[in-house]
Amino acid sequence: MRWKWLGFTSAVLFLCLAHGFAQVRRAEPRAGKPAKNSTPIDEFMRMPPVERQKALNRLPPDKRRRIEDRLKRFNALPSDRQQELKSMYNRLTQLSAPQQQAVRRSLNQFSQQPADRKQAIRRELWSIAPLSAGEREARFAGAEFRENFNDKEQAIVRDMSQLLPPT
Amino acid sequence: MGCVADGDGAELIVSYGARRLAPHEQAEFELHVRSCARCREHAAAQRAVWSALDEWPGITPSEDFDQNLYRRIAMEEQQAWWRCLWPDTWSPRAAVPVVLACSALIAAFLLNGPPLRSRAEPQFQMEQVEHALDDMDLLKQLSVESH
Amino acid sequence: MNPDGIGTQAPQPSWNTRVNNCVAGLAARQGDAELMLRVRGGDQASFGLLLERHRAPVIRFLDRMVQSQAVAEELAQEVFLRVYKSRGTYEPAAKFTTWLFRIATHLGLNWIRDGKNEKGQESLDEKTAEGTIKQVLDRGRTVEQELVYQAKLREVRGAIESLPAKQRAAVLMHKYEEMEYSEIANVLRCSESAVKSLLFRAYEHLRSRLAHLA
Repeated sequence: MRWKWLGFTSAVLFLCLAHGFAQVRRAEPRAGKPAKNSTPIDEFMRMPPVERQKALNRLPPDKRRRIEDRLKRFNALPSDRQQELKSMYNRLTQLSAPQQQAVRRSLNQFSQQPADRKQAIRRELWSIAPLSAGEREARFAGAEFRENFNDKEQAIVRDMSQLLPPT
Repeated sequence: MGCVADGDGAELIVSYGARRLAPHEQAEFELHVRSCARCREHAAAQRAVWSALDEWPGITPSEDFDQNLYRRIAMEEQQAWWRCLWPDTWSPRAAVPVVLACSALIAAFLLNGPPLRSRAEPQFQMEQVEHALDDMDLLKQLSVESH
Repeated sequence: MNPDGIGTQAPQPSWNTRVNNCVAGLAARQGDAELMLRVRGGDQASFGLLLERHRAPVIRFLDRMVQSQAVAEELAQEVFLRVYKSRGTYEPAAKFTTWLFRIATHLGLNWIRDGKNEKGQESLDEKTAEGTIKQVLDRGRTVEQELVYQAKLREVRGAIESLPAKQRAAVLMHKYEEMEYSEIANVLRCSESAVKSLLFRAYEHLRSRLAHLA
């Protein structure tokens, strides 16, 4: 009698566990194949709202709220702005790990520059955007570039030029 | 034509106040009302009630309503699969063999089964999302002065 | 070349914009029952569409029932949670709105019955005090006009609150949701003649309280 009871409960438990695992699998996001050039933000937003919320719920409350706010702000940007940022992000993530590290370091340093120097760096990047890689190198080696920008700024421009669209 | 005095007019009065009478019914009722003071009084009062109720504006749902709802749904779903492991109808005496069976099954699964696709993946995904947001914040400053 | 940026591609609508456009397009073409059947089949986007369509009416109905926005929203969430949880067994036997308002009415009546409506009066007064300045700003009324309006609104809310719970529900469905007697009867699970009786008594009471506002 005791063994029958053990066998019965084991069988029921096995079925429950199987059902539970099936539910866990079913509950996983049906994100499908990620689109070319999609960012983790795109993939996250592609998840059904319930699955998105489940993923957020697993985070500590403060962190969850911070990420929710940041996502809200990002999604509120105009669509062309979002697209621009995503394009730059995708170019960044296609670089090798050391290159990515260098670019992020330069971006951080860029954020610490005074406003007028930031604008000068932006203009420089804008003006070299249509140049080929060889032409950019020539520009960086030129006297004008070295006169207009100090060493730190030169490094910033060189690193961030890797985010420019290919020519 | 129903009349309040006869007890038949209540439905007509309400429909008249709500402007839901068909045109011919409305015309017929208005004709009756001209000669029936009691119906006239009730109809006017019903119209006043209807207008007063019109003045009560509906509220606007709060912005985070949907978010809170999805949060609740997610929490419910996360709890749901735990409940199936111990239905309310099971007696406490079943606990011992069930615990033993559970331990045996888990041990077998861990030793021989496929790797569990666990909470690690969604957490990793959230880290990727957070890192992507960090990068986006850095990249934003390239286009225009950050706002 | 974008003078403000360092390089751009042709602008594309954001994911949210594409989803919102898709939502609007689908909503125009599909009935509630059809959407709910899709939800039953696992289509969560259709649940979003139903929510978009019915969120405001359900919240407004519950707000007028319980006279507190916070409680109304909590109850409304419970309504949609129950709709979502029942998706697996949904059958389009009745109109979707009938089912939805049946759940909402049930929850509203329970809340009232459980005696939590002492808060209703407090929130009514708070809302009135807060509402005065905001309404003046929003609607361009003078302060005096606003005070008169708020006093009228207080009377209307008080009159509705004074109705027995079932009469209250029937009036709100009849007046604000423009439901026919048959649909209200389906929601309240009673006969059409019972609904008429509820409504006529309710309106009689409201006439005694509000006719002077004409």
